[in-house]
Amino acid sequence: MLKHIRTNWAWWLGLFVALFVVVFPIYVMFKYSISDRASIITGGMYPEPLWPFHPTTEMFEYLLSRDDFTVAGLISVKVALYTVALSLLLGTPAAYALARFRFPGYGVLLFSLISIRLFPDISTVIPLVEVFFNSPLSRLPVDIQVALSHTLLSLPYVIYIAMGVFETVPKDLEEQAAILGCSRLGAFLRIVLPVAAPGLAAGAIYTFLLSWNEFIFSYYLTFTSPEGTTLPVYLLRILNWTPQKNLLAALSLVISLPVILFTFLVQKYMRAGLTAGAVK
Amino acid sequence: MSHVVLKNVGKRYDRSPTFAVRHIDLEVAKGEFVTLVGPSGCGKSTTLRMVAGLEEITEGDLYIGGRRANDLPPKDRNIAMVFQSYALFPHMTVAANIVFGLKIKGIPPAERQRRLEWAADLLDLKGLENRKPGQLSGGQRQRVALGRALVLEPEVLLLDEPLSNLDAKLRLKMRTELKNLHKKLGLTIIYVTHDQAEAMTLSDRIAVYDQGRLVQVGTPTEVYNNPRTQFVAGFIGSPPMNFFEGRINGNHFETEGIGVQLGGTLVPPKQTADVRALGIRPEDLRIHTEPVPGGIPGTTAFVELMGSDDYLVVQVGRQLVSVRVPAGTAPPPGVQVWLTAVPGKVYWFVGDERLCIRAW
Repeated sequence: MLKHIRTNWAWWLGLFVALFVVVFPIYVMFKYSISDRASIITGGMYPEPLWPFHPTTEMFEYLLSRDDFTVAGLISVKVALYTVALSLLLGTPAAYALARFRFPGYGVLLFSLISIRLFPDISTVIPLVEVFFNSPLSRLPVDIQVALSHTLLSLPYVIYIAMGVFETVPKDLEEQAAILGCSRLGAFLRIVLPVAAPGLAAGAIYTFLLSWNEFIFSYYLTFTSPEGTTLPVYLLRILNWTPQKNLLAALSLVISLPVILFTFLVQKYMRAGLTAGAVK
Repeated sequence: MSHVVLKNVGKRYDRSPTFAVRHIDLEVAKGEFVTLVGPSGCGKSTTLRMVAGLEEITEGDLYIGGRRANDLPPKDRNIAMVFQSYALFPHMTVAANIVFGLKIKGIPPAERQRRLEWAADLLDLKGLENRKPGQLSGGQRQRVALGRALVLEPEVLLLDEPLSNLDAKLRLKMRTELKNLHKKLGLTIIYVTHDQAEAMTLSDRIAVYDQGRLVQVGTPTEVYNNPRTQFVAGFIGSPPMNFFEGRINGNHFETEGIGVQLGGTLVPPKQTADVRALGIRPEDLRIHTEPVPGGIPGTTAFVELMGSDDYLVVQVGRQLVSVRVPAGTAPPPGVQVWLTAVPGKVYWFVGDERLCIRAW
């Protein structure tokens, strides 16, 4: 599929620049996170070293010893998982209906779905907070509240990705299942879902990462919550409390790690999911 | 006893002003192999899908095994179907694919296993039971799809262009196997194809479709020898029948600016007023190097070699006419020849409907 590119010095230079842009921030983050005090507080006496004088894991140990950090980590994981579950539960049937049936108002519905994403998150935050704080929703646990708000963000993506996936599942399979005795729902559960599973998994991973990274909604819903907050908001709390580089870097690394690992492990499927439906 | 009966069946799709197929009357007897044949878009697949229950029937009645089946869901029609795409479930093994329908119908595992083994044996699928469809060749997939249909022990087996995804050689092999299977199991089969050769070789009877209408139903021999219209005459037979568009004027047939004197084997029909065309099959033409009564003049153009026979192509006016000749006997190009028909093999087409009249 891929053609071999002629490699000359310009190609290598381009590759190097691209790699640098990607890897340098990760290097800085990693370097700070394992730095000892002398390596970051130089007082202008000597330049910061490229590698810490005495690499140490004390910042990670410190983080793990803090209860509010473990609480935030747990909330982040729970919120992301709830968001994935909710998005798939709501998005998959919606996507299937949109992929298989034509009904009055189809175009309007499709457009309104994507139009949710036309507004910047920050501009929807006030009505969102209004709804969450002044309705029975406010009595829900904070992780459920945040997951609900994240589902608002992820649902259009999940529906669009899943629609593309369902459109690649041949109709013949369902018709054959119907002849073999399946009900419409039976054919969906036994045939369509398993065949679509890899594509839907891509949507799930996308949703997980979206929720894991999300800041704005989480911030407004949880910043003052006594129950705790998600990791990105927790990072801001720490930042407000101390500008200590090595602690912030360690925390940043902890937040990035699942994202980096996930992306490496499943990038093949993510690409497959995102292009599903684009080509036959 | 008729097993599947279509009475004046028609289908109009939602939002479409016209019928895709209409006035379909067809009776299929138990154990009969009936082929619906026609060019693409003629409504043959739509008819099959209506029998299967995949399309709603807009008008008319469908009976399967004596029961009115118009409103029955597919699973209650006691049918099985093989799709052109085979529609194998890609996430299941061959065995799981084959017994899927039995599982849904609640057949006990021991019986499922027995039928699986029967099908694997019958269709030469032994040893492939644990493969996924993606690991099979086209012919094997085809047989798995057949197996999945056969284990249901259906009253009627519906086949929608089942051979068209196979390469030419495999298609011939599967054609023979299918015919053999029909003989062995005594199945009632409705088969859809656009390939007239498949229709001719496989079927007990052929139903020829043209533009949403059923034009003719009959045995392959009947349809071949007595086509109802010019469309059928041209569609059934390979290479196709030669047509000469023209009219009868007095004792001449005028075509391609040539007046061919009627006589000899070129017998005119009783009513000559409405004649629109003349048709003669390639194997029914004879070549003469001297003028003969009823001979159509032309010039030899080139020869298509087929091995057992050759097809000599003769230019008549602006038209190319195909003539079957014994191998190696064709005259060289550029020779003036006269073509006559074998006695009784002259087809006239009359009226706007182009109905066929044979004259002798």
